[in-house]
Amino acid sequence: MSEPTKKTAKNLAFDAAQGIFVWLDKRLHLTDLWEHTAGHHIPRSSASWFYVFGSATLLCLILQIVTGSLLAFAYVPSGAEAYTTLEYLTYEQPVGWFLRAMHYWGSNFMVAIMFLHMTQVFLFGAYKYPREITWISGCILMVCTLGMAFTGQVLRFDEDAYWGLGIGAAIMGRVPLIGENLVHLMLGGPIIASETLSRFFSLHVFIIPGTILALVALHLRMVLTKGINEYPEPGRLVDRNTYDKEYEEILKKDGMPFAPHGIWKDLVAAAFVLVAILACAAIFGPKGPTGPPYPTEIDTVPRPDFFFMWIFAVAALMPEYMESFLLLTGGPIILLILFALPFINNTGEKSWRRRPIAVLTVIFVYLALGLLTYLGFTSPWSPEMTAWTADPTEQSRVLDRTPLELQGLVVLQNKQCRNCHAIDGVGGKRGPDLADVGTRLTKDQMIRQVIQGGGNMPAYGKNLSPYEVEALVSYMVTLRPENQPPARDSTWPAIPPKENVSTKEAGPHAGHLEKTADPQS
Amino acid sequence: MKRSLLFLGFCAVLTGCDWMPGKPDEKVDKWRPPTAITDFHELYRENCQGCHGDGKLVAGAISLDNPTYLAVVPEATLRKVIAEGIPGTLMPPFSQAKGGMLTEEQVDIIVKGLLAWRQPLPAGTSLPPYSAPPGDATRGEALYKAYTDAIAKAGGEKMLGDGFYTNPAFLGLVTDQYLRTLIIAGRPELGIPDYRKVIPGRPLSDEDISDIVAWLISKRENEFGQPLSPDSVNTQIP
Ligand code: HEC
Repeated sequence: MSEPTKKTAKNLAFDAAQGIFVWLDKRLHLTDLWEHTAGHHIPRSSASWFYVFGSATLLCLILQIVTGSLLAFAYVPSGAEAYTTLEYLTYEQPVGWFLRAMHYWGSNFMVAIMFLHMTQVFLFGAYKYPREITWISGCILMVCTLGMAFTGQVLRFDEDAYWGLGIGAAIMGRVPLIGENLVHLMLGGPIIASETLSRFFSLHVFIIPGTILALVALHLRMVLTKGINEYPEPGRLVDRNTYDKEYEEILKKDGMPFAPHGIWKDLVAAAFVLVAILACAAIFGPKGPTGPPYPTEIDTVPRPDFFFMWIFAVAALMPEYMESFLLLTGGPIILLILFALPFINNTGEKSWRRRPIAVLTVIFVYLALGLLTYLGFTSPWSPEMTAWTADPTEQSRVLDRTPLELQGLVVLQNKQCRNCHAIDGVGGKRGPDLADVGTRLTKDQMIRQVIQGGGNMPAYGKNLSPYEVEALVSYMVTLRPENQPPARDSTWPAIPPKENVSTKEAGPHAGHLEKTADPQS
Repeated sequence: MKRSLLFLGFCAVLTGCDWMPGKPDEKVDKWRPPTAITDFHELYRENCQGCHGDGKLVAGAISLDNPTYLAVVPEATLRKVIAEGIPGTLMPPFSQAKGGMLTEEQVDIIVKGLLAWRQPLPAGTSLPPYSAPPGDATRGEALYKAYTDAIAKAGGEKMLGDGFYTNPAFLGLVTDQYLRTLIIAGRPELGIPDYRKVIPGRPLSDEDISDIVAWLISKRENEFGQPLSPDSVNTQIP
């Protein structure tokens, strides 16, 4: 008796659930939606580990939206309060630091994975016919993502943000004719102030994210309607007249629904990225805030976040005469090339195995960006402002020196040479280390260099008394490895004449050189 | 396995993730204005170490932990020198009133910290006064000869090049008081003895020191090699 009743109850529940679903489906077209999205067919070959970067970038975007919204609960976008709320978030709000760290590392990962995605799309020829719009919408997404990264860095509103903005404004200001207006537009006034922050806040939380969401919708729609790129095979060429048919053929012969056959790899990759972001946040924590954004605070070493480091390095390395030209035209030219790519190179071979120029381009771009980023991180663009009072000297560089030489070391500190020049690695790194300067320059060359400057070094002639120069130079001559002779003027004989072993007496300039010859002989 | 992982995650949330290495430490990571530094060692390291050294890290100017120096220097002199610098020399002013970066309070902290480095000298040491007018240069010449001989004997020949303390460029860059300070306190870390160890058997007397300083001053020249009269140079005592 009880058996059938039980069955009916079960059936009843099932029927009810089904009824609700059918009712909903009739109105929301859920089955349809599923079929056209997760259930859509993809070429078996494209269920590859190489195809996970796009969805991983999307995961980062979602993560950024979540963590960003939470951060916005506490953040006050006003010049007077932004810095304080950031300190509050970092040091007082429970788990606030972790949220900040997640958002920071999320952005790093997003930029990095986005570039991996682009690289893969480029190498697999996915930008070719008929996916030009997919590529172009992706390029605009890239610009937007970098825009998010830059505006986000500004919201930190610390000294890095301040100087980052300053550099941005300086670049804008170089635009001919309308430069000043552009700066005004960017900063919300002639200077970096509260209006600037409001402007960047609205860009960072409304305008750019809105644009990104709209573009992602377009981007995904293109992926669904134009289909995901099949795994390219060397020798299979894209032809505008036959490609669509061929793709249909592939789907028919060897297609399978994205869920679950393709999606599991994306999910595994997503989990991996999520864990990596969590781990980085937990281990390395958030960035900054560094000092507050005071224009008077010049004792800082402002550095952009890593994705802009290469621009920083380019800006610092390029010769002055091409600065304006490169800064203003570099970006547009790169963008133009990216946008034009699917039209320049619309058909033909997709496989990277048959596209050596594409492979070389990628290698070149990665090497260049990698090298510039490395330089950006390691190169000492700014002097070390406290080295002159703070950096001590190895005992071996002080022992056995005459009082004059020691006084020369004090001159070297007092005139702040140390802010740009290290001795044995201690000190600024803007100029060469002085630990072996005595083997490289003769006393006369040192005097010339110190007084006239040259090679990026300012002239100190006006700031040094003759005695200071004498003390300074006599100290620098002693800076050389033990047992290594000081640099020798090429007009001196390498081996002094026998009857007169002292270098002081040697050569036609003997009288003149007497004072400047090796002080230790 | 799953449960223990869940448990771990739960604990992580409960403790506010505070045990994680990435959590910023307010004491270390939070930015403070440089004027808020009140730790003597940090102030000394940032402002003085480059020229005056510290421990193994020596430098061009006299070491400020020199026990003889600390025993003779008056506290008021220390404060004045640090706050205002020594005009005409390479010792810069540090108080904000004189264009430096330190507050009056920070200058005080440095003075207190330096004085705390004082060590008791051997019982019965008679200290010469920190400052005194120059004495008799002729007498000073012989004493100075003995002084440099003592340094040479102790293995310091290399330091004696360039005329040692009589080098005109050196003399042109330092005050009379600094010369006196050097003779009194020496630079033991470099092998230059203090006034007690210069001449075997007896410390230099106050008079000896003044005479040596007078001799050194008489060796001052202008940059063209012409002798200077003693009062045309900066003889002011800080
Ligand atoms: C740029 C190098 C430099 C720095 C930095 C510097 N000093 Fe000096 N200091 C000198 C020189 C050189 C002299 C000797 C000046 C002279 O000729 O009288 C001196 C002298 C002094 C004297 C007086 C010595 C005497 O003769 O009694 C004191 C005290 C002193 N410094 C303390 C300090 C303290 C404390 C600091 C850090 C707050 C400091 N100095 C930082 C270079 C420096």
